[in-house]
Amino acid sequence: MKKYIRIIGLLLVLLAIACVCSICIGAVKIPVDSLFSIVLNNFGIESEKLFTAQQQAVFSSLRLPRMLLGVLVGATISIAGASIQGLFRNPLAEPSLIGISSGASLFAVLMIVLEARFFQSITAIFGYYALAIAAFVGAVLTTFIVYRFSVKNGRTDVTSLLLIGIAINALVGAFTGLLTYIASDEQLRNITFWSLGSLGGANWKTVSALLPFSIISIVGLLLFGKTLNAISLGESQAEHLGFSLHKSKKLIILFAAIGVGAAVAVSGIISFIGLVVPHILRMSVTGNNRFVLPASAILGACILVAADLIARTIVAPTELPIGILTAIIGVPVFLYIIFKERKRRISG
Amino acid sequence: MIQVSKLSYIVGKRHILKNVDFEAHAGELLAIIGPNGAGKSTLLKILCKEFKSSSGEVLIKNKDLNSYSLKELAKFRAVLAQSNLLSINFTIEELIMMGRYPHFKDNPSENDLKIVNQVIDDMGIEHLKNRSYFTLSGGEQQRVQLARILAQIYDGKESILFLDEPINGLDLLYQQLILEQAKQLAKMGFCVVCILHDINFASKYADKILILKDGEKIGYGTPKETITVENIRNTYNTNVKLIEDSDVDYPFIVPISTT
Repeated sequence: MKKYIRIIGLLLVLLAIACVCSICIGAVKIPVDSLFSIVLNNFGIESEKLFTAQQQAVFSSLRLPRMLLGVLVGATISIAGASIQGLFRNPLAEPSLIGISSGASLFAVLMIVLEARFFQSITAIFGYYALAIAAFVGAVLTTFIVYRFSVKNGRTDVTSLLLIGIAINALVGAFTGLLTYIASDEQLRNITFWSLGSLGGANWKTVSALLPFSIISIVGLLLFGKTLNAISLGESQAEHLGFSLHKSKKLIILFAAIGVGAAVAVSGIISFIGLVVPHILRMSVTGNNRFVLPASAILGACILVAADLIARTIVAPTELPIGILTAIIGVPVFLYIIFKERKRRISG
Repeated sequence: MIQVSKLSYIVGKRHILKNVDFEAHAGELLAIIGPNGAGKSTLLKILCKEFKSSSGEVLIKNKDLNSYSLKELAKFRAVLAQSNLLSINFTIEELIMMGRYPHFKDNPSENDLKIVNQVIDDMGIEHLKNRSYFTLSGGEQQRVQLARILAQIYDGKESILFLDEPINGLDLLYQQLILEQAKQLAKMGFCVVCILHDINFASKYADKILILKDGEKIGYGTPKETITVENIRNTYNTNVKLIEDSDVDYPFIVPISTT
């Protein structure tokens, strides 16, 4: 356990470095000493001003919210990925792959396009959270459907799992395609954003819309480390250890869906992060969920902040959709897992 | 310790178990034998509260099984299931610590750590301690799983162990190692209930044997009382020769022909 705490400490340092880099680097450069000076001044500590007004504006209205959004989205979808994989007892069960993120985005897109009176009345009640709530409902529904169809007697049927993922993704693609016909120009831009994933929409509003959902999801899922370990022994084995899974399973799905739904609502579908991050940790350290869950959140935040930094600087002044980057890293890892699984099945 | 009376389990119109009754006591190893589909595993699942019986009564420590929660049961009753496929790789030490899960909330206590080490010592698996589960052979995996469930109930008073075909697919040495360990636990005062396919092993290690066929009790008693030519013929449709040897203090059988 001590070793795990050390590694988590190391990951936190890594995250801090990624965050500072992401704030300092960009079209407007903010050197580290200026950054310190801005932060000190913001806290009302009088000191020599080492920054320009432009740097301060970029810091507080662009870089900081974007960095925070990266941290929240990365942490949330990674820990959700780790928990969903634990629940399905399968490393391939990743929210974007098996259709959960698509389900969330379908609901979000429906809301935007059908912007009907219904949507307006919901928006009136929930304000800025309306989209996140719609996405959450979509995520919960798809997770339950996928779980129902692919898990029998506590065993995941991988074929059904992936086929359902393909089906849901195709269905969502079709719907989104259909909706583009009736969408207005602005709606169209929003829809594209959802299918590719981006942190470009970051501002204080999106950060504050995501924050409560992220915290509920992350804290909630962290409580299930022991339960997920027990589930890895088998569902009846977990019950023999005194875990009543009936309730736990629903709560895990709920907490994961809250996070995935809200993350999709603010940043679209950022695929493969939830697959790659827990997998790296399982391969290099341990499969023990008491470690994998918190470490996934930290490493996920770290990787997404770094990926976003690359996405917005590599082809400056334009921006690369972050989904492209995560897929480039993610697909090889995904293929590797499939090969390894097959090998294990043949040899074992 | 365990009293089962008039237990029946019906699915649709099929009677999986019909009016089964028996008892299992502390310090005793009860073996349940019978052909495939006799209802052995179903019986065990009912005893574990995985299935709910259609009628009849199960008393554990003189209290109705249904009055226990899963959590309460886990503190004094452990189960070794038939197949144990892990979906995550753990080290052996971590895996055995999972047996202590019913006893601590967040972090294992001194006592939990002590018990895990004690169990590793008792089972003679010190050399596997830091290995990862997926690298072990089938026999080693089974021993480690047995260690895990032993850790679960190690310090419980009047603990109960359910073993579902614990020696399936193991070689002769490991079959004996596992059953000897089970027997040892019974001698220490545990109540051990074990489903077996091998009649001779049942005869060698069990204090009592329950024979099931098509959900009905064919025989129940000591090996000398239950392992008879008639019982085996009635249960397995097989003619056997019963052999008694002065070097072997239990009856054993050799199959001759199918009826």
